[in-house]
Amino acid sequence: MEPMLEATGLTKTYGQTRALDDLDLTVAGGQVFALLGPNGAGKTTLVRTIATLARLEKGTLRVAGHDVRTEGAQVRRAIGLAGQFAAVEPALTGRENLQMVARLFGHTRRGARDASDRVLEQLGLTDAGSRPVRTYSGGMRRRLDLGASLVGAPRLLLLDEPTTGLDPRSRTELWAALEDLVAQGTDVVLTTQYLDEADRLADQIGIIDHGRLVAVGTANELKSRAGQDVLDVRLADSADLDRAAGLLGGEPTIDRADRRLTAPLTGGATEMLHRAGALTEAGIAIADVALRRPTLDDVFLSLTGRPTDDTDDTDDTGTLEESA
Amino acid sequence: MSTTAPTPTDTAPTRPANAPEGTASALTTLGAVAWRTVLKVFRTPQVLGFALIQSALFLVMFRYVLGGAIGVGGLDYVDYLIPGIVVSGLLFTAGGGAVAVAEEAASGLYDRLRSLPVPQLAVLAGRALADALLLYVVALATLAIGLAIGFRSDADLVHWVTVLALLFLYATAVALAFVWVGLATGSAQAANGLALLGVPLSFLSSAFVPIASMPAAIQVFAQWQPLTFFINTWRGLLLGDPVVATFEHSLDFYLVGSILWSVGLLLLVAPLMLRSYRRD
Ligand SMILES: Nc1ncnc2c1ncn2[C@@H]1O[C@H](COP(=O)(O)OP(=O)(O)OP(=O)(O)O)[C@@H](O)[C@H]1O
Ligand SMILES: [Mg+2]
Repeated sequence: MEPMLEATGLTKTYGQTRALDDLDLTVAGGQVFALLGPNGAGKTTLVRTIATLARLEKGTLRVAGHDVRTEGAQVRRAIGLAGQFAAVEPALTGRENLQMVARLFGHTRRGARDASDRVLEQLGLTDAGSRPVRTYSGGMRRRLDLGASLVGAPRLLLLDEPTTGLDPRSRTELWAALEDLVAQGTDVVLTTQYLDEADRLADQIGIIDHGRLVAVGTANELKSRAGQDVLDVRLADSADLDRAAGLLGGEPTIDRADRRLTAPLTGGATEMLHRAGALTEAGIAIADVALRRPTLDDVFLSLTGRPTDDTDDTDDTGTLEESA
Repeated sequence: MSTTAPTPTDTAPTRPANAPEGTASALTTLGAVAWRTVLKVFRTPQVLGFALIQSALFLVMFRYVLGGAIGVGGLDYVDYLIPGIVVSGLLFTAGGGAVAVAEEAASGLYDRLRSLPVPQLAVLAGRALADALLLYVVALATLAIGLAIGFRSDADLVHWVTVLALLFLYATAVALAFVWVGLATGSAQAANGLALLGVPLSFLSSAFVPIASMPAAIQVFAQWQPLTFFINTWRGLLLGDPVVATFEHSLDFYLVGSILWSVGLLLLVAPLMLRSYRRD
C-alpha cells in the first residue's frame, strides 16, 4: 500500500545553510505524524517542500503517491496546508475567508457555503463566523486558518507549528479540534517544538535537527530508545551541586537554576536509594528525589545533545517542563 | 539512514467524505480571488477614500494654485490638466495595491493559494483584475470631479468609448505591474517606497506642464515614457484638433503607442510576476 509520504535524500540549501540535509522519511497513511525539532531544524522547509512550495535540489519526494516534481497538481489536490502564520484576511469575516478557499478547493458555490459552515461548526467558530477576522483572538485566527486548510476535505493535512504562540487554553482547544478531525480519518503531518504536543497528538514522531531526521518512532519507542530510567535529585543548596554530581555517578546533567541533577539509572529503586544515600552520607541535603521513566525531553536531549527549547546556548540546560 | 515507520493502518489513502467533486476552473479561481480583493477593499473604505481625497487634492492644487502660472498655449489649464491628473493619479493610487500584495505575501496567503489545486496564473490575474477595477473606479471619480470643476469636452461617443477603454487597458497593465512590485519586494515598506516613483514619473511627463518647457535632456525621456502617450491620446481624443496641433506627433502615433506600451508592459511583467510568485 502507498505510504502518505515517501522521501529519500531530500536536500535543500539556502546559501550556506542546509535546511534539509539528505533527509529520508516514510510516513504510512492513516495516522498523525509529528515532526519535532528546535528553531531552524528544517521543519518549515520540509512542510513547504511537501506542499510543492519549495523546489527540491536533490532527492525524491512522493506525497499520496505523487511525485512533487512531476505531479505537483495531483499533490496539491491531496493536501491542505496551514502554514506557520495564520493566512487569513482580517477585513473579511471568518465565513468569507473559508468560502473563498472552499471555492478554490473545487466546491460549487453552494458546496462552499456548506463546507464553510460545517468547518466553522467543527472548530467552534459558528457564532464568530459572521464577524470580521480582525475582531478574532489569536487562538481563533489559528483555528480559522486550520479551518481554511480543511474546507477541501484534504487527504493529508499539513500543519506547521499549529499551536505556537497560543496560550495553554487555546492550545488545548486546538488539540481537541485536531483530535476530532483525526477521528474522522484525516491524515496529519504536523510540526512542533513542543514534546507534549507530539506526545499527545501523534502516532509517530520524527525528530528533526539540522535538516536531518535523527529518529523516528512512537512516543514509547523513542522513550525506550533514550534507554534507562532517570534518577532525578533536587538539592536544598545549589552550592553542593558540583560535589553531589561527583558522588552521584553516571555523569549527571546539572540544572543550576533548579538545583537539579539528572542521571541515567539501571538498577531500579534499590540503586536509587543507594546513590541518593551517598549524598546524604556526605552531608548534602536533598530536597527531592525521584525515579522516573524518560520523557521525550530526555530523548531529544540524548539524540541532539540539547534540549528542545534551547537554540543558541547549549551549556545551560535550562529547565524543561515534564511532558503532559 | 533508513527510517521507515511501521504502518498503523494498512489502507491506501482514500478521499474523505465532503471532498469537492472537481477542481476549480481558471474562471472560478479568477472570480474568487478578484471578489475577495474587492470585498476587502470595500471593508476598509479608508483605502479608496484616501486615494480619492489625494486625487482631489492634486486636482485642486494644480487647478487653482499652480494653474495660473502654467502656460499651455491657448488652452484652458483645467482642460489641459484633467487628462494628466486622471492618468497619473491612477498611478499614485496603484501603490496601495502593491502594499496590499506585499502584506498578503508576508501573511502566507500566497503560500496557501499556491498549495491549492488551481491554475496559478488565474490567481494572479484575479488579483490584478480586481486592482484594475478599483483603479478604474478611482480614475472615473477623478474624472467626475474634473467635470465638476470645469473640464469640458466636445468629443463624440466613439472618442469617449475609446478613451475609457484605453483607460481600462492602462489600469490593467499598471495593476499587474504593481502586483509584481508587491510580490518582488515582499515587504509593505519597500513596495510603498517603489510605488512613490510614480510621482517623479508623472512630473516628467506631459501631465502638468508642456514638455517643450522642460530641459532638452528631460524632453527626450518625457516624450517617450508611457504616461505621455496615454495623456496625449486622452487630450487628442477629448479636446480635438487644436490640441493635436501642439503635439510633436500625430494622434494615431500616441494612440498606437499607448496600446503598445500597455501590451508590452503586460507581456514583460507577467513572467516576472509569475517568477516572484513561485519563488521559494
Ligand atoms: N527563504 C530562506 N532563505 C534563507 N534561509 C532560509 C530560508 N528558509 C529557511 N532558511 C534557513 O533554513 C533553515 C531551516 O529553516 P526552517 O524555517 O525550515 O526551520 P524551522 O524548523 O521551521 O524553524 P522554526 O521553528 O523557527 O520555524 C534555517 O537555518 C533558516 O535560516
Ligand atoms: Mg518553521
